[in-house]
Amino acid sequence: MSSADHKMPKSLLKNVHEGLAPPEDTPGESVTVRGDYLYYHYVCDGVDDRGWGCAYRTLQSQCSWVHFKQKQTSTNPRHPPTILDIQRALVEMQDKPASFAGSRDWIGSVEVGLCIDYFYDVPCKIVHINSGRDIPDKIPELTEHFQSIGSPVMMGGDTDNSSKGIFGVCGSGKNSYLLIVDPHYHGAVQDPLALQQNGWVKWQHVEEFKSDSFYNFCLPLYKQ
Amino acid sequence: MRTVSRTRILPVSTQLGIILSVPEATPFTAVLKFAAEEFRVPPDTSAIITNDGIGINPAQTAGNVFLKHGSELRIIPRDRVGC
Repeated sequence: MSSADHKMPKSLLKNVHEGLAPPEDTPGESVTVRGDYLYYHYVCDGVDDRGWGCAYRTLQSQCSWVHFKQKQTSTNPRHPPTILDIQRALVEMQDKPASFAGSRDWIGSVEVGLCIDYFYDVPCKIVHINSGRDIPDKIPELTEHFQSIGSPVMMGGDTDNSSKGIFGVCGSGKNSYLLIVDPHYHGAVQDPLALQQNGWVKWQHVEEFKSDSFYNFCLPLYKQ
Repeated sequence: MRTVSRTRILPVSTQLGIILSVPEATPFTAVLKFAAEEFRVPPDTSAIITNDGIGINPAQTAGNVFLKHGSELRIIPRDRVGC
């Protein structure tokens, strides 16, 4: 079976942010991802990637969004790649050495963007900030992204070395929140409400990000 | 026939950059290494993006990159996340 024939894991939940209440102090209107996606997370397809796979999982969630979009106009849109597919693609692009395929090496926003372009021909914009303190400066751009394109965003840092799926924005300036879909969940399949109640899908205030970490955001620039 | 391309590469947060002149057939992976050395950052933890922030597939020649994306590029630190 080729990688392209790989089917999406059957037990994945869809659109896990739906029904989540806006932030408590509701600083303004919220804008969220537009379209369907599947929630990829640690061990969701049987590969034990705990401790290393979180960026791959956010990438897979982003790919599922593109898959559903392309399904509207194509009869055979590509299924989201497996972790091994992703690694082989980065080797083929000469972004990684051959030894990378089959490893437990971490990736980040740059690799995520290269892969979305590789698998789906969708270019991605990388937005860099020097510190978590600078997130408020990017709220207008992220808001506009969700209003116009609406694709899920991947966020990664250096001292903050956890991948975060950003699936929405609420507020403006320093009183803003990012909607986090966390790929680190593993365990029995829950329903979206349980994921939200247990903090795997949540609004996070911009002040809760690390000021000593730089961050990169990967924004898929999908066009219909 | 032009065989050498000139590109200006800047760090993401400043306007002080470097200008590299490379043969068009130079692998873009080599351009990244040159630029990283000039900025004294590790090439493995750096990436070059366009001025508009688009990531660049490194498996192509410098000439191809400059033709598609222009000659003003940015170098950024890569995030690496896993836990």
